[in-house]
Amino acid sequence: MRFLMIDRICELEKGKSARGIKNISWNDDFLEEIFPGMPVVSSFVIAEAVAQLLSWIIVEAKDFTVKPVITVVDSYICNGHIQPGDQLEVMGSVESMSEEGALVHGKILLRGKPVIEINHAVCYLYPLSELDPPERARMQFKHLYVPGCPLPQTAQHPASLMREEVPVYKRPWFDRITDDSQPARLVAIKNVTATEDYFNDHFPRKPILPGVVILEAQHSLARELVLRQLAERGLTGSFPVLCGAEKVKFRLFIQPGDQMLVEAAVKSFSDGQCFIATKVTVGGKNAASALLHFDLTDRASYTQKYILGR
Amino acid sequence: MRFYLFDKVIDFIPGTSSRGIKNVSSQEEFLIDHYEKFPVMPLPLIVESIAQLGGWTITVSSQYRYLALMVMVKDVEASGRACPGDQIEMQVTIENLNEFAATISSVALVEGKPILKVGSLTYALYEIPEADRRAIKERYEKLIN
Repeated sequence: MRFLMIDRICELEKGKSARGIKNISWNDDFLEEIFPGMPVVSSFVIAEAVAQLLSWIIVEAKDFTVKPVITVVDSYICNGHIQPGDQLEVMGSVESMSEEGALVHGKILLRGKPVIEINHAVCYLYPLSELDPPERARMQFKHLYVPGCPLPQTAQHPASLMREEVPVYKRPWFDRITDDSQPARLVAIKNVTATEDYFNDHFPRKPILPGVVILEAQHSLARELVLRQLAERGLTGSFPVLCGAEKVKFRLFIQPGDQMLVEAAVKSFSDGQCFIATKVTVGGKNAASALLHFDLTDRASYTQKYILGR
Repeated sequence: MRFYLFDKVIDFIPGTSSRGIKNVSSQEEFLIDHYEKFPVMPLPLIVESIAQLGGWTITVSSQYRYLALMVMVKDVEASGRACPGDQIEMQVTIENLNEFAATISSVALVEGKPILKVGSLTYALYEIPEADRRAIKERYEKLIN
């Protein structure tokens, strides 16, 4: 699958804000299951739609000379169930921009209600020609930008609950757990390899592991840790549902051939929710970190809160 | 899946040898069917990883004059396997290199233990048109780390 996560840009105010569309299909590579038989789009990967929309605002405003690379996200909130067949409205705004960086915000709406919010993200502006041939970027933008194209309707078909006949088969985003000797901590390896499809688009001239994939590795391991904690406490009916992240930081470019060491540790754990601190190192260097926030819920209350209640 | 089966070169002596890395990740597409319950990298793909690294070594050793296409493989011996999370180190030695053909031998290791040996792998060499050499050079140089 290609790593182009925004399908159309409908409105653009130069250098300031934009609105666009992202469609979700059964062919998407990034489906996962929180509860068996209920496929949902990976909570962090979908944030790439906002990141790419914001990227186009900045790339277009700077006349295809720079491309933003995300470094810090202050707060990330996700509280919806996005599934195949949904049409998402993606919004992005640039609060301020200088020669070196930009401060941005973004949102994804499903049926008119926010499901993803990214607040206070800082990106660094990298020379575009080192990542992508500028003429290719211009061509992509030309195809994406359709001024006046109608945005998704707020009254779409309701969410579907019956999808049990199509199982989603997905391996975890980490490869091997290397240390589970301590009760509230896990360490795992995630190998980065050149065969991955997303390196075609991210980026043609320099392969860099997308930030959302780094986060997905942290999320996947944190989820495994929470599942083990729940089993230990005998709470087998509950499942962890990601509902946000704080202090998300990316410090290094991660490239094919690198081996990520992902670490997840319980920061706090109560009946209804928990916080997991995650960290990624590459060759001993600190590469990324985030504090992940999970809702602990059973299937019935998840359906009520995230699907029917919306 | 992209057909880039080695990730980086960690050691290179022009005309003599090289060492490269292939990371095996649980997200690799070939693992979906090979096998769902027991993910393991197919051995022919490890031979391809070696062939790609050997081809890189020959092209760079010839200063981007030749492209190497595999024509013969002899004495392949597997003694282990590579699973998600493993880092395969491939050591390539150039046995013979002239203007028509090249031969290498190689061993692939996981955690220092050999998992696959290739006694001899022969390439036919094709001259790269001068106009294309710069683009290949730019792409190949980025793999040295």
